[in-house]
Amino acid sequence: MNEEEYRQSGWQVVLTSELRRLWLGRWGPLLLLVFSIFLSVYIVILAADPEMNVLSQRMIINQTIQVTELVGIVAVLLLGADSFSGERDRGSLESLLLTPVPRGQLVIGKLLALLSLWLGMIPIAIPYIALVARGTDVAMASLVLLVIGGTLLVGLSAAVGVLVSGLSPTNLMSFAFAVGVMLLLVAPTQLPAGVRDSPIVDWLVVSNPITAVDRYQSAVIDGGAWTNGVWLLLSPLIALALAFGLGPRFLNNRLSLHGGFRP
Amino acid sequence: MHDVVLNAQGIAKSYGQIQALDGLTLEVRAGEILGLLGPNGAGKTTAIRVMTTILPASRGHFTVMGVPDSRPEEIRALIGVLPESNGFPLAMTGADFLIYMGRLYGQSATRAETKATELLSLLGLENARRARITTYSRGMKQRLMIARSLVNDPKLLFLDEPTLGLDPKGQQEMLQRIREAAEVKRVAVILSSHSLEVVEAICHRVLILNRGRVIAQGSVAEITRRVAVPHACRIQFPAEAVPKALSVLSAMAGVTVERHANRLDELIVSFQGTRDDADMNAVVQHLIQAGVPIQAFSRESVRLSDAFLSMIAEVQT
Repeated sequence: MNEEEYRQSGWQVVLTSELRRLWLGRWGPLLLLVFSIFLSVYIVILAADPEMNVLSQRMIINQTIQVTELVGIVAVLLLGADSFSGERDRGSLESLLLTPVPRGQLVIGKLLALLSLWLGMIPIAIPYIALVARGTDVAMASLVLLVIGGTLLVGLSAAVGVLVSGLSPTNLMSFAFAVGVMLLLVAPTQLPAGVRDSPIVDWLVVSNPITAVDRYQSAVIDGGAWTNGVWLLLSPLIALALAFGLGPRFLNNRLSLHGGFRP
Repeated sequence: MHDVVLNAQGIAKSYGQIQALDGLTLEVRAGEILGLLGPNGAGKTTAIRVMTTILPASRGHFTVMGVPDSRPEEIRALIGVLPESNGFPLAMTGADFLIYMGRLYGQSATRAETKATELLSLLGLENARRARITTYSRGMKQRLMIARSLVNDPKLLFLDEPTLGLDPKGQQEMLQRIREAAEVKRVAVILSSHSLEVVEAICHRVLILNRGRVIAQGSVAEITRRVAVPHACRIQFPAEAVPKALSVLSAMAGVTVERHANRLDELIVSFQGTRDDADMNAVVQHLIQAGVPIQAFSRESVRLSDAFLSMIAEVQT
């Protein structure tokens, strides 16, 4: 195949351009820098604060993983929420929509580019997790949990951001709606233990991808087997599959110049 | 047969209760330039957005080179568009933007780069190819967007205000490029503009829209013939002869005389209810017989702008 015969699919062209924009522009490197500073400060506080010493080492590991995932979720969510509505606000979306690339492929390209941010965050988080988990038998498990759980949740967050952005008429509305959805999903992690005992709340916890991943990670880090409660990963897996499988298809018919549900 | 590039039948577009476009039917052939005219809110941009597949039509259908509007991706591969909203990814350079667009049209990296270089040179942006778009002036951005509309060698080109932001020289060059695209490459062009001079200068046919409806369609000559604009001429005299000329002309039946707003030695003579050239000859004869020296004589032709304003006023009353 010579160069003239080589053709990329539309999503690959969008992905390449978005990767260049993210990593050669200011956002990617800046976010990674802020993330590494944040993690350093967080670990120092955990290690230095005597009050924190009442937490067991396993709890600290779990919290570090959760915080890392949360930062990834929020960063990807906000970038995702800017993906289409930002172009809409800046007036550059029409140019993109005028190309023969199906809308669904534009969505896939932008979605995959967002995930690269998480791929950049994982290597930064690994030494910190390894540091807090040193001397325990869950050091390796912690890293695997971070990769699996984080990828599921960050992927879902990217999909929510892009989906909301594709439908929102303005960037402001997109940010507000995306943050609102994510707060709704994160809120149950803050419920007091007593409330969590109720069967309805329990059902909500296992069907909410964020709380389900949180519960599974806690169970494994607390010494449980990998298989113990692995079914908790079902809801994030299903949500991610739906978001990646149906999201681009949904937006393929609805991604429009002015936003909204109608094409 | 497929000289017909665009065929639109009864296209309508409504936003809730607002009818932005109502029953647009038109045909554009290869090498033809169609001017789309209308006051603000007439439906020009909506018409372009529907025919470029950006907005779905509420009613009606259209084909581009025989491809029906049910296959929008194929249509988009055939058309080039200078859209109304011309925002850019500002962090990109002009060359990168065109290469990106070329790749989205399925071009290889080499082909996209060659095309970008060619277009930047054609539009006079070769020196700014490596500069970020954020540093471009308004005119340069307009040129870049026009280059973007040509990146896929379109068969049908939609240009929404192509001379906007360009200096007079740039405007002339732009019109020349559009003419060349139509004449040499046989590209069909739909040009929407508020500048009636631009439309009059290069369009083979004109379509006038008002409140979403077509109120006139035809060549510039056909459109201007339909309008009952007074038949008139301008006559220039030595300054001292103007009062005598005024009294001679005022005495003639069916003639209205007025002074030119800026030139004291010029009179504008209008003939009511007639388009007969004999009237003009009679005016000249009367003046000569009365011994009024004439320095210059010119017939006032009906311009597209007169026709446009007259039609819009007629529809609105």
